[in-house]
Amino acid sequence: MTGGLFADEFRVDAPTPREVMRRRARRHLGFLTGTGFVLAVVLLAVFAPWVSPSDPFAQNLDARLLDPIWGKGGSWDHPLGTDSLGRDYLTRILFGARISLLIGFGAAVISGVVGSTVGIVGGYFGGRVDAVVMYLINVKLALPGILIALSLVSVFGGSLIALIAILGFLFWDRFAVVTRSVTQQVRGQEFVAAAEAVGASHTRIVVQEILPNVMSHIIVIASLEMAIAILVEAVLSFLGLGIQPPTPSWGLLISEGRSFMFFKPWLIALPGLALFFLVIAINLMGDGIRDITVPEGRGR
Amino acid sequence: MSAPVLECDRVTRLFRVKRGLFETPATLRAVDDVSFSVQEGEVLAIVGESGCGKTTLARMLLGLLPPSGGSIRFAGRPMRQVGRSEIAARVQPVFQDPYSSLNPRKTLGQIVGLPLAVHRIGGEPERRSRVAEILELVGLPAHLVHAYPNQLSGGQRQRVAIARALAIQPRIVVFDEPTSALDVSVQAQILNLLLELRQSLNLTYVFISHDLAVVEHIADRVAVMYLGRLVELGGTAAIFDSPRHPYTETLLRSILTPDPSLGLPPGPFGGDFPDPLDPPPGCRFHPRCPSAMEACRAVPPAAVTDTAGRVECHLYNGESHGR
Repeated sequence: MTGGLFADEFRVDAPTPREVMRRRARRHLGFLTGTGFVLAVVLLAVFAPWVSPSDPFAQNLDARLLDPIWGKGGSWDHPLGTDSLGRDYLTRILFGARISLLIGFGAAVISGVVGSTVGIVGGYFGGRVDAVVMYLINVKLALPGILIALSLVSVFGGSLIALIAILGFLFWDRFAVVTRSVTQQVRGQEFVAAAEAVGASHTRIVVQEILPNVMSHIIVIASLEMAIAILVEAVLSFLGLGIQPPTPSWGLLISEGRSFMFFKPWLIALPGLALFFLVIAINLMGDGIRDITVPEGRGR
Repeated sequence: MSAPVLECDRVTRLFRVKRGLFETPATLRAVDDVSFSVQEGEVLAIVGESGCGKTTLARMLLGLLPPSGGSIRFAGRPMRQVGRSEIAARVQPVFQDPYSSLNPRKTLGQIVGLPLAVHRIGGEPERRSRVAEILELVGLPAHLVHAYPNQLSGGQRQRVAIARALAIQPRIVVFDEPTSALDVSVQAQILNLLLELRQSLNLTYVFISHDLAVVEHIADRVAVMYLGRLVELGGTAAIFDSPRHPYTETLLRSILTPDPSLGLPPGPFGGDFPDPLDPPPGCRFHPRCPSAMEACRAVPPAAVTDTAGRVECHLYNGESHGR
């Protein structure tokens, strides 16, 4: 059967799925920009204690509300100026990135695990299980998210862990909706029937056959949810219900800068811009991942 | 004659079909009272139009779908008493579409090795050499273990699907239209491979197809299905040379001849394929049957079994045997 006749037929020229993704990623400007920015922020946040010029909590009442470097009397001692207690603003913003990223990442992981489990179980088993899952999703969709977050935070307090948990358990519905429908689609494919015919357990089928085909969708939603969680944290902190002072969080910085809005607008503008660019970058990254991981033949 | 490796005894499968919110769900008899047996080492083909219940029957033979009635037996033992993994070790499928039957995220090594992993056969190195062996067996070089399905052509993918089915050395392989998604040139290669494998591994095939040319080439016996009923069963030569059921006759007449000067075959059937949710009373084929009689409209024909096979038609009931 083998040998000369098919010699040419078995030379594999086509790239592996991973190579295809790598090739697409290299050409995707949005993905490269977004990922680059997010990576830079992550690095700055991780190494904040070493890269920041001073301590985020060190007050210096002699140097309150100094202008940034481009303003009147700005100096390299405080490149982005100081806040109303004389704390270095660059340091505060760098440390604030830690809070934002931790909350965004933590909430996305928790909601991803909860939502994907619910969605995949519903989509895979169908029938009554799916009816229960749909009911849960519909109930969740009918709840006003931010209001629930507000009330839960006012009950449980605004610690970092509490915020991550609350936001994580609030944003699982999108994961559930998407993974459920993708799982239904994958489940109908013949390779799942083949695995069933081999006698594979449900766990094996879900983990080995279904999950790898749902994973790219989960990652895309995770990036969106991460951006949303970061924004909601900023909102909660701005309202005084999230991260408590003196911990630096971007929402809190904006809130603290509010009283000086008309005299020192950069107190609001700088953390606002940081928030804006981080969220945009995460969304660019998410869109990029979606474009990169579409199956063969769809999209370019 | 040895004991049949696979028997279907009055197997029936019903589906409840929801039509609207306030309408009562209808019952679809996808497979209705089908009985046949498969002997060790033979190729039994099941033919019929789309929607006649072939694929439902295949899923039941694979244990993926429980029958609503009747029983399926493996070497005399009812399927219900045979465990899930033992069914898997006896009968394996090869599906129609090699693009959907291979997980795009797994390498060929993982795909062909899955049955070995599920059945805990051998350790890691043993499995690896077994996978390479099976790939060679189906005519694929062993270095493809690291390739992904998207890197292969349709014919190559179908070889992988065959390799996966053979990995745990089943006695029976159920093919659900294994060549209909392939180019004609590749079809022949795959069919020859199947015949070779049957010889060398002494396999039993249940071969579901609507391609009668392929069936004539590969099958020992042919079962013809129409709207869930098994209307005729007989040896391949007998079915193709002297079909008895009018449906089989019409089906055979619809084959395109290789000679273009003969033109298209005559319009195969009078009337449309009936609604499976509301099959005609009596013989289900009577609205389209050229030789329908009074009895056909009211009484479902009983099966007539003789030396030539089995046929469900009033033409052969009782004295009118000779026609």
